[in-house]
Amino acid sequence: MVGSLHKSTKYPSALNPDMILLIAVVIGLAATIVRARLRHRTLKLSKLRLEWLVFVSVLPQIFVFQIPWTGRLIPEDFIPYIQILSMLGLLIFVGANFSTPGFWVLGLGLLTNLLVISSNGGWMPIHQETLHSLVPAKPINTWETGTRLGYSKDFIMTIAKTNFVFLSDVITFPQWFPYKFAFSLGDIFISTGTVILLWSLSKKEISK
Amino acid sequence: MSFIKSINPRVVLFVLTVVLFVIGAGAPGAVGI
Repeated sequence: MVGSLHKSTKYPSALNPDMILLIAVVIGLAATIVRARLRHRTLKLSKLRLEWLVFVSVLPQIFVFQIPWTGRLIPEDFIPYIQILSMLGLLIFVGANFSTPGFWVLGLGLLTNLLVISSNGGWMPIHQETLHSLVPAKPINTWETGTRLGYSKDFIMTIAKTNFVFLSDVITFPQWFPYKFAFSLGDIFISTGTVILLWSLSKKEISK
Repeated sequence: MSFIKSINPRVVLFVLTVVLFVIGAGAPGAVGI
């Protein structure tokens, strides 16, 4: 009952947690376009290998986490398998493109998130303390351990029962920040790798 | 707008791949108020 309360009231559809990571895409893209324009360069892409694997790997996640009406239909018992298999597909993609700028940082982020998720039953742990620091106006027991946080990848766990606590969603923005997000060290690496990758699109061509 | 001409379909596919990767690899949590 409390679990359903979490889903219906604490995770409004207008607030998708992945949006915070897409800020890195916007920043990286804007910066590289500005640099290309100022330096009179054309955006130049490295040929990525196994691009199709990203689409195939992430599509199930889109249905589970991004589209509420399909997410509701998928039993929670299956979600850890979908999550881990999807991330393994992305790991192969990173391995195939490791020499491309930014990919080692993206890979580090993916690996750390995969490590903490796979060692905690296939879910990203988040703690009552973290949620309370995001919304201090609500009592800490509003967030019941052992329940999923809305339709996200996060599961509310106790710190004592979490493996690799420091890799879980323990980092938050200051209180003045309007959106209430918690993210992991892996998410920071992924954002950084994204900016490096996009910035590299406007690098100077080396003449041969 | 000359810089828009520099964006070709390959770039769009590239950015879409990056967006999907970020969605698939990242795992932030959020709460509404």
